[in-house]
Amino acid sequence: MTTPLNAMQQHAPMDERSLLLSRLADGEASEADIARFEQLAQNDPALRRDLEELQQAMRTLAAELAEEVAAADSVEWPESKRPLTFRGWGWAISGWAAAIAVAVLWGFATKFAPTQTDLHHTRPAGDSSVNMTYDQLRRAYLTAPFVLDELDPIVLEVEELSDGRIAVRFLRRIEEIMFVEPNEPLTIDDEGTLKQDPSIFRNRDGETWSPG
Amino acid sequence: MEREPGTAQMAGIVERACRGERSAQQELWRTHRRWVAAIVLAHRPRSIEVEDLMQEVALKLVDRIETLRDVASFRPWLRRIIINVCRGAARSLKPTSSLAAGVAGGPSEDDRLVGGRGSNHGSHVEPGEQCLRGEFARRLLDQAMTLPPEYREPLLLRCLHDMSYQQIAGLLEVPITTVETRLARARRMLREELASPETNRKGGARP
Repeated sequence: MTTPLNAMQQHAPMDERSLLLSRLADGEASEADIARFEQLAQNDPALRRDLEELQQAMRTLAAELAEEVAAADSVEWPESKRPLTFRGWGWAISGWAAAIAVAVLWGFATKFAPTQTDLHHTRPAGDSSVNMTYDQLRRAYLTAPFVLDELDPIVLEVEELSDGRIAVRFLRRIEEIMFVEPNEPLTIDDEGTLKQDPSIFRNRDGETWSPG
Repeated sequence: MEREPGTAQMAGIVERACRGERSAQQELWRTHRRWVAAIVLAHRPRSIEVEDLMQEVALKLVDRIETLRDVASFRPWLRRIIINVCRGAARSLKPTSSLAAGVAGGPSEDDRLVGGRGSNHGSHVEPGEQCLRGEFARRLLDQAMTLPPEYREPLLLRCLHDMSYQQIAGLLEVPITTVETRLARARRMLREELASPETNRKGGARP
């Protein structure tokens, strides 16, 4: 299921009432907050009821959450470092398997490395990156101001080919940041997948950037 | 829940764990695993079990604990590991299991409705009232789990670990005013969602 989030709802100005109730429920209210609450409650008796309901709801939520995380107690500190095993939602590889994977990736990179002709055909004339390999282009992209980090690649599939080589299909992961205006719709599905192309949010200002 | 050591004692445990002392690493995990679970709960894809992700976090921690340089930044460092594990899981292969209930690790619908959870704290309530309270608690938890992570995480840390605004701000590396605002917004969003006619049609009336 996809849950559309209205950026406006999340970034709407915080009203004093909600902020006061929240501080009071958390026991973080100052003397001035308490005085202000009493003042508001004189004109609006529902405020006290709202506070009681909020406190009760938070107690209920805390009890529910405590049950949810109680399962954590069954997770023990691993006896040893990461084993070579298939784990439900991903591959864990180490030692010789990791070495093979690196060698295979290196082999692929060498085999499919672009020629200068390829690059001249795919890059616009006058572009400073025309002489870059794909790897250099990727490294240059990582220096973009919106790139925060590159995480370890995730191996999706390891398959032995008929000629004895091993094909490793993997995902590269680059952590980036973008800024969404309050009136822009932002859609993220239950798996945490962003459903819009980030360039929509980046290109609106016409800002450009040159690698390296 | 595990009894948490004091700040100075904790710093000593982290330091020994970083040096590779196994008993300290085990102690560190024991005192932090519910805290880890709270962060996992705030960031995981809903179709993946909390325990599975915790296993992965523990393995990462085993691999990396000796690379931690600043003992004082242990919790923010660990939080980044947890978030990366959750993000990685979201982008990985199909999950091996889906959840019977709306939220991972939760009991079945029947468990909730018979009041098997701890929301009544031992006070005597009539069976009908208990059902309604159980239903409200379930909806409250489900709604909290649908909040955006930046609102869900401080709310969970506050509810589960009674962390102060200052402690949460330090962990999330944001100003205290941001924590305050996120908590207040999270509660407002919860209140509005629970009061909406659509939510009430799905989940019944509030007790």
